[in-house]
Amino acid sequence: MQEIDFYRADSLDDLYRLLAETGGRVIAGGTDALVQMQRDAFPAAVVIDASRIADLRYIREDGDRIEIGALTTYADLLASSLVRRAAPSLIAAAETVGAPQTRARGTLGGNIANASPAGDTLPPLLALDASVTLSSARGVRILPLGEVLRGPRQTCLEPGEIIASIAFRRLPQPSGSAFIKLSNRRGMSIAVVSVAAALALDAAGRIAEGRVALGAVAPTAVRSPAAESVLAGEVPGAETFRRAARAALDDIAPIGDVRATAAYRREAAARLVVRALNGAWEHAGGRAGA
Amino acid sequence: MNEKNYGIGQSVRRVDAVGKVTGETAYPGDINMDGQLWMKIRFSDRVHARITKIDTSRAEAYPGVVAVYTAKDVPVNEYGLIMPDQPVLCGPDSAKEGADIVRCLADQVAVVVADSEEAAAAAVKLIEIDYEDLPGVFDVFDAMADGAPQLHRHAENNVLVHYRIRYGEIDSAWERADVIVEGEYRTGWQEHAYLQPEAGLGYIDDSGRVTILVAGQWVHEDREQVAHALGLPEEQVRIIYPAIGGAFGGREDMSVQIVLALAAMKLQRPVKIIWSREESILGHHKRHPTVIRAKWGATRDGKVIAAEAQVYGDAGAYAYTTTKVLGNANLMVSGPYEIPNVKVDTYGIYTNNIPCGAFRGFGGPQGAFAAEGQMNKLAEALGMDPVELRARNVLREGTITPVGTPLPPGVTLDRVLADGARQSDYWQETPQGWQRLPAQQPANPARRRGIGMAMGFKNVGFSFGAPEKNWATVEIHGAAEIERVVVRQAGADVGQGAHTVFLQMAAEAVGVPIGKVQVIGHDTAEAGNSGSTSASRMTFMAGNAIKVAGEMALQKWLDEERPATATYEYHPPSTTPYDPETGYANPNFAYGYMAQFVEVEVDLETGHVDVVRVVSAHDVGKALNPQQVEGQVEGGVVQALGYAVLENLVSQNGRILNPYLSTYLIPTIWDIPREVKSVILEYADPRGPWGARGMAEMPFIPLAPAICAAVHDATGVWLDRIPLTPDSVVPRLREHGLGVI
Repeated sequence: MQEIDFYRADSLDDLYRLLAETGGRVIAGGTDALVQMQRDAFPAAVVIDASRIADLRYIREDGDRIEIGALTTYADLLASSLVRRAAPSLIAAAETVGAPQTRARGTLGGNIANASPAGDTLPPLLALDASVTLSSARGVRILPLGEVLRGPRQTCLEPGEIIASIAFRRLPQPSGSAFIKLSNRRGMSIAVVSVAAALALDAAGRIAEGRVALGAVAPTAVRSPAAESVLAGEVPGAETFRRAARAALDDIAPIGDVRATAAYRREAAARLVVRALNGAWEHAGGRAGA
Repeated sequence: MNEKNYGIGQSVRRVDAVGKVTGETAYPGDINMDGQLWMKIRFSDRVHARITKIDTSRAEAYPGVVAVYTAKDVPVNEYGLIMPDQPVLCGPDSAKEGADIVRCLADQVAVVVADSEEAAAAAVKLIEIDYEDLPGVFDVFDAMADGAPQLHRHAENNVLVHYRIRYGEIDSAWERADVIVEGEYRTGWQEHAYLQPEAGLGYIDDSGRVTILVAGQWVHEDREQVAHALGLPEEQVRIIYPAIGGAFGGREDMSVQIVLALAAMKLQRPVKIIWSREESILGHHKRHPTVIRAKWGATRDGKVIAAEAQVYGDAGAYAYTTTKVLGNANLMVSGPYEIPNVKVDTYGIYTNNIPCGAFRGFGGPQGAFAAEGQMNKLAEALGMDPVELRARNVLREGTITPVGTPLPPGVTLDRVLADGARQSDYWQETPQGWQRLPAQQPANPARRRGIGMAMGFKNVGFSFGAPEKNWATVEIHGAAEIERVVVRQAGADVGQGAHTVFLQMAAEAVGVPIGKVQVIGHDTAEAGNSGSTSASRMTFMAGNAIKVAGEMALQKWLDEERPATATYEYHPPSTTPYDPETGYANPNFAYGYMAQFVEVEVDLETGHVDVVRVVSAHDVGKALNPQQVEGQVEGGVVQALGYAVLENLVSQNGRILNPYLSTYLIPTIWDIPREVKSVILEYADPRGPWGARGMAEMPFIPLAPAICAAVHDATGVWLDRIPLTPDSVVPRLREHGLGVI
């Protein structure tokens, strides 16, 4: 195993200081980092454990805005009735992460920082139009999640910068969201394809705003502008959702790997878009289309 | 229930249960000795290459390193369960000719021994190996072609073994067939994925013997191989299995035993090693992948009259048990049916892939996948129910098999099929014969349910003339009354509960409560040779040995001997190898018979196959411990489900791309059937102890073809390639217009 120096930060100031002094890599739950370390693939010689910084572990509601501290664990999300009401898609994603032990350690901020194309919470957060607060000793900046994710295992974080929180706004009612993850087995498995959808309906029952995001089918989790433009203003239902699904294929570029072929990922992605839109529509009070 | 609480037929609680559940049981990796050193192995970096030079100087200079060993340090430097074709360590200046060549990534090149595991791990990377690459071959058909790279001198065109069966007149039989079905079947590698990765501790015992604490399947065979490779007399080697964390055939061949013995012998100090999961997956053999071409014919009245097959099995770089595994596939690829005209050719072929060897079922699953697939397709082509077709063709008492001999007495295929079908809840008997009931379909049209079945047979015990015996001693201690009974029996308890059943056997034979019985097990210094825990043989073989030894000891006890001790070595009826031209043989002395009935739900859009329910019917002769029989059935079904649906070992040019349990997916609790119903039948084997048959492999064997039959019932599509990964299933469904958006 690699030799890695370990530091623990007990406060945000402590973390900034250690970052400046060591140039180390921050870990939170460490659920990805420990596996990387065991395989000699951890990309740093110094690790700074941020998991005990209590100030970064919270779930807050401010009007229609929900803000989640970066060190909030998956288990915290699952225990939150607020998140359960506001973002069932995020709950659905958190439920699929690893095993109970992983969910007790792993954090929402860590899922973003790790920037896996298959990160489970990334599609629902993208479909919720989430923004990310990055902070450093120099100050804060707030960016849409889509701009934070730059590529496989790549984010826009600058040296000394950390992920502090994630925030999104509730969609106006009636609205709904859903997340579907497809893996080669039912538990403890990385996504082959994942899709999140969010729908807000207008007074006439048409789609006021529809958002679709996909995981594991591009270098990062991605929104699908093509699918979303199909949805806008349309009557929800099977035909609309199928058109959106076909359009979504224009926005993805899956690869083949040991989990699945690229062709399969395209086949599955289209069907998952329909299922996720159906789920979001049902959650918004509509009937599922075939 | 037996009030005296002794004997067989009761679900006696496992003697090892509490220790294993609480974590108190010490597996090889849990055991430490004062002054022990740590070992790390350097595996080959190349799939096929000549090693021209190994420079160990940097590793030797690393702080904490005590020794580095290479090929030149191993006295005989060869091993192998059926032939010693693999070097212990590959490299120049070896006692073994040709040992300078690495033939796969599982080859071991050097070992480092250091005073800490960390130092050994760091130093092993500092060994510098100069390779001269050789062309590799990774596909069985490429390997058999003229001009292919040759792996071993003894195998022309890389053909390690070729079996033939020539029975009846196949050429003229096709003309009489009303229907003929042909298929090409493909099965994949499978990883054993036992809970406990390889580990061991080597030391010199009080009697000066090189002693290895390890987990294996046959202490005496391990001893023989260690002694051979190191040029030691067997008496100077001792093998002990403290506890074994699963085996499934994966521990039949050597992993850490010889190198630990080498280091302990040279250093005269304890040396320990623990493999990581990745090392375990890369370092031990797999189940043979096969390509099987089959052509079967039947008459309109549902009689199978001809079967032809070619079986190509990828042995990987070394023999391991390939000749035996493919001998079984050769026998089982025509199924448990009376077929008057049979022609089979089976090839075991060396490649530069990971070696393949024993794995639960031992060639049976591959053979059954083709045979049962053919039967199910014949049933469809004839418009006949698949149970009905089988009922008309199964082997019966005295019928001659394609190798020219009948099965041993006690053939119950017809009863297992009928009892299983009846208790499956999926079939009914009508005046016209057996009839499958339609599956209940879900409301969601993207999901379709189907029902399928398959059956099989599997030998119990070593086949084809291999020496077969089992040794047991029973000691009865006490004065006026029996106070204590000791069974010496080396048969490995690999986690299946053998030790508990040995207690039950001795208790039954002597007539005492099991609380008075103690087992002294797998230690070559304490017990005679029992053979391997494999081939579903240990209950049958040890039972026959313990039963007689116990009865003999009891007689001595009654004759006032104190202590009363008796040893008995059981030898079953002998078997014979295949005739090289015709395949004529008396291959086996005992069999188990089984039939499985499966319900699946197929997601037509995503290609996911969900195995909802399995009914697994087995003639076990006599269930010596019914709960353990059920445990074997349920475990076998889950393992076979993994094989059939999930487990996809991806190898590219000899390199395994998914050597982790995060990418090589075995079933979780979410993936297994909602119900596995065990149908335990007890039609005694006249040769079995108390009538018992072996049964551990049987639940594995027919499941994959039964699942494929159920998928066909659900979708109308035959899938002839396992595992049924979604990305392989979807294109087949789309070809049939299913799941199209």
